[in-house]
Amino acid sequence: MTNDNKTPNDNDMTYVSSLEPEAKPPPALEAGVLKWIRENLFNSVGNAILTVLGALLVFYTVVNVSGWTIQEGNWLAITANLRQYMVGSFAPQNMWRIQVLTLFSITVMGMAVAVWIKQIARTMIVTMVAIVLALVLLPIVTKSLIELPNFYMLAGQGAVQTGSAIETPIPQVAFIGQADEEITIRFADALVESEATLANLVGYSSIPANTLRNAARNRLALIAERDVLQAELDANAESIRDRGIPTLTDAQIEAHTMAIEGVEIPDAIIETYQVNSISVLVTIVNVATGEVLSEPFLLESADDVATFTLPADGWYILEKVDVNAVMPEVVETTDETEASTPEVNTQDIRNVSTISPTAQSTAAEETVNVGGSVAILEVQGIYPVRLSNVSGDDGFTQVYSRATDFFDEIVVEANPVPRDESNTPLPFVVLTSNQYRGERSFGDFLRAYVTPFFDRIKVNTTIFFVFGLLGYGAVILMENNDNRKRASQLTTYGLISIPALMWIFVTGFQITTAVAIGGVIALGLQCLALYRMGQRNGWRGWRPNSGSTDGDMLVVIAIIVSYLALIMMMERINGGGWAGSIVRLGFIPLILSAAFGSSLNTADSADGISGSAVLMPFWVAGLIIIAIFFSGVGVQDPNNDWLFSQSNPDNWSGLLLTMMLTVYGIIIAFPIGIGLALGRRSDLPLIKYLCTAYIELIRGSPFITVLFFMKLLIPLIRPEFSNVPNGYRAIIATIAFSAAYMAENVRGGLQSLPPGQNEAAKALGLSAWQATLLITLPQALRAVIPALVGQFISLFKDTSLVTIIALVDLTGVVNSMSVQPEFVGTRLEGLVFISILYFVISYVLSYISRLLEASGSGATRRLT
Amino acid sequence: MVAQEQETRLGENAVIECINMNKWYGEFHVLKDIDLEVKEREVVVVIGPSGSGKSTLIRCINRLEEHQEGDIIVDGIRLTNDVRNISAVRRETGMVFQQFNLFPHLTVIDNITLAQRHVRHRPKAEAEEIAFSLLERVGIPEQAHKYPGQLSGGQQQRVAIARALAMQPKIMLFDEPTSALDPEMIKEVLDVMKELAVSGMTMIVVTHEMNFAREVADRVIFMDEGYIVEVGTPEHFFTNPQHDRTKLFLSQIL
Repeated sequence: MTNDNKTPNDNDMTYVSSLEPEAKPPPALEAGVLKWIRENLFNSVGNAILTVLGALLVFYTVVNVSGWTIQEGNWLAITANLRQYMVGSFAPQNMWRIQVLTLFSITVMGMAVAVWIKQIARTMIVTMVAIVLALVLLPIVTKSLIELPNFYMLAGQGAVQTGSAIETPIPQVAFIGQADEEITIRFADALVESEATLANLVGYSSIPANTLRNAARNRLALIAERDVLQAELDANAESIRDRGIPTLTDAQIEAHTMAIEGVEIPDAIIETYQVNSISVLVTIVNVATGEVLSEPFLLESADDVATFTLPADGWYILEKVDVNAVMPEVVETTDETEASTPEVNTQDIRNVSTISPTAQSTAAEETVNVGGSVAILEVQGIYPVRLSNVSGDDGFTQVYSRATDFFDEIVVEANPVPRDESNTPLPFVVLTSNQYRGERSFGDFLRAYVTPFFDRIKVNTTIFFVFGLLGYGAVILMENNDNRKRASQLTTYGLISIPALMWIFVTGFQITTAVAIGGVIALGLQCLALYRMGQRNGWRGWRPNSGSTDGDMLVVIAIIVSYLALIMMMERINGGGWAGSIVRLGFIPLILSAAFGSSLNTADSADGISGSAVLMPFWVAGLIIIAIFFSGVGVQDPNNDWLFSQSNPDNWSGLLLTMMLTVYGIIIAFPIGIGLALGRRSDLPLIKYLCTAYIELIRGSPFITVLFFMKLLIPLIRPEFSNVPNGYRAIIATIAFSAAYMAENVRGGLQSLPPGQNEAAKALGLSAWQATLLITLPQALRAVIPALVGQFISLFKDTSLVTIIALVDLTGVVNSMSVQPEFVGTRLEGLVFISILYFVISYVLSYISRLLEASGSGATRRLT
Repeated sequence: MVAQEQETRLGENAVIECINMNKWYGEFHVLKDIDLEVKEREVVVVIGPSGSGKSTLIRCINRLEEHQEGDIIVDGIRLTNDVRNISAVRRETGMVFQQFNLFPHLTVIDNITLAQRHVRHRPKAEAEEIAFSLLERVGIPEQAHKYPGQLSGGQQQRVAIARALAMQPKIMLFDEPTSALDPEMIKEVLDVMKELAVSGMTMIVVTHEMNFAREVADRVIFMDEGYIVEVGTPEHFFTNPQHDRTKLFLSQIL
């Protein structure tokens, strides 16, 4: 850096640098993050203002939303209803179908990534591993670091009151415990240090405990109200004394004074109930064996800690009895204990904790003296129990599970019954009444809400990712063995078969269904074989004796199978009435003429009709078969066979319904849309105007209208249509709706092509059909991939409208979840959850579409 | 002497005949009373100012445009609305466009084999053999598996010529094949066309390349405002034009 060797000379213009300047880093403001920030965020005054405002807005939103997420949102509702969100009321004995289908789809998707968009594989694998690690590790970490929130219960003879609500501590309560779990019970002395600590109770609490908390809160609120009024009066008095100006009018002073006099501040809650001044005997009984765990503990002060270790999973009864009231009897028998709480026995177990106010007050008049001593117990190891209905082979069964950890792992089917075998169900720690109260800490949020959710999804998610990786690895393996073409063929077949499998797996198997689908496939093979033969024989017609025999045998077999399938389908559809006769009248001549007529026709005028003319009738026949097959599935066999039981489309719900609507809404609408687009560009006026009218009519009506049309008007057109289940009607509406938009997208693609393409195809002698199928359509479709994916995504979200025709899609699940007694008012949580679900799926789709456009699998992008 | 040579080189029969042919775009009369006869192996160059109807004329010959009056007979087939006649004519007529019009979603080899397989119904192997020999002939066999977007303009136009030749047409129509090319690429395309002319292909070439017309053409046709103004051999045309309009045009471009 020194210039010592340089000899500056004013007269001499020559200059020789003997030292090479050292390379320096650029100035701090000209490199890295700082440079980016300076150039992009603060390069002008306006931009700087926007940056600051934007940052403030983001900060404000994030702080508030995350505050709600952590402190208030009841995410237990999502965890508990996860199954509803995913498959709704799909029959549990058929769940294996969904699982198999999902695993298959995920494997194929892994293969597709490996074949077509390898560049994101690395990112995806890293993301997947990160997600799995988070799902597995976070529960382990939180479980070892953070205790589950405390449970606060009330014991004692007295009843507690706030407002008109009077609650009596329940001496016996059942809970579900886990083997080796330790339960500790002590007086919650920290909580009753002052009224403020009681009012700020955070954790699970029973209704009586919560009543005590509310009483404290109400009293504090009253005091605060009085203090405000008094402060205003004082300020007024001070102002008059100092400056002679009153700050309140006389009327206001009078009103304030009266209000202050009118406020009746109750005595301090802790004093009223002499909280924690009694002695409580706690016992835990194993319901299954009737054994009392260890010795009963007598809690007399905060130093006494009752500790129990549970021997097995299952129901336990916690008895907490005020020793002074009924000490002698309690340990020997519970009969008297129960007799002393008659309201418990007479109520249905689910209603125990929500005793109606009138019943409560009469009970209170007879047996309860408000203001007796109570103790508030801090319990660790006991958590609320969720009672859920699970539909099974023989209707609904009630299932109990813990609503915190081990959601699925500890499931008890029987009611908790007391040890005297009187078979009277005991009250248990029901989730409805024993909820988490107070503003949650972040730790409790992680431990009691995030951890159970992660625990619930971690196994499935890991299995999904493993299958995705298997698919990916299989393709990589094949490519390493120089089977690149084989790999991409397999993947294509896999992708194509997903919708077909989805239909079969979701609706259920049926012999006729299988044969009908086989028939359609056979028909396709027949087309293929005829086409191959035609190519080989130079379209000199169908001559069974010419050429090699395998292709000809294939044709014969395919024809036989497809006709058998047709006959069986007719049988099946015949039960449905009108559809069968159409098939009978229309199909045989259609198929016969298509099969023989067109091939002979081709032979006669080899230079007149081109190859695809042979295929057309088969395509048409195939489409008609599929259409009738779908509409003819009216007859449902309500048996419960594991393989052949049919699912009722009215029961499809949750993400399953959304996927059914979207996948079929797009896939079946695709050929229809292409047909409409070509029709709209047709030279034949009738076809042109019919297609235009259809497209404009549908595009001019909201999706809701189309749905209602299917729901309400279709049965008026033909009474038979009222048998079609709602699920199918929604799918048909979706197809009808998206076909119109698909048509416009495709037409846009067709119009974007230079006319020279079509001219070149014609000049080469290609027929109009060939030019469309081989030249214009492939280019047009590729050009509109972004629009098509956009349509797929918007349809995926639009399906949420089916809620209004009484179908329970994701939005419907939110509605039904937020009216469950345990989760009343959790609609916001549900909406947040499905928004995230919708977003993740949509984002992945649009990401893949971006990669597809830019990838080398097609060539349009290579053309400048 | 040259005329005699030509007589022996050219065939007896006219492969293209336009008889009193007229075409309108709506109210606009584009082609007026066109009478034209092209013999086998003849190379006809059509020149004229833009908008004179040159392109429309050759596009009528393979029915990319429809004429309203008069007759066009190609290889003995009269062009009518009958789809079979049209496709028969198109099978015997190859066309090369100003904008190449290669199919961008297909590789070069697929561009050349597509029509062979779907129109001529040749097996894939045979079609590819033909395609490779044609690529050899136009001098770019190494580009066979590239996409059109990866080739230069001159290479694309040579692929387009190979694509048309693969159908083994009797007639080749060239619609300003060099107009969209950079100057240094024009030569490579013209060389291919000269080679084609020498090999005896019947060609109608719409072009502004006067040197090509002088060297290769058997006959030069000058069109203006939708009618044929003057027809003649190249030496007649470039040394001794008769019509005032022709003289004006040549004086402007030469």
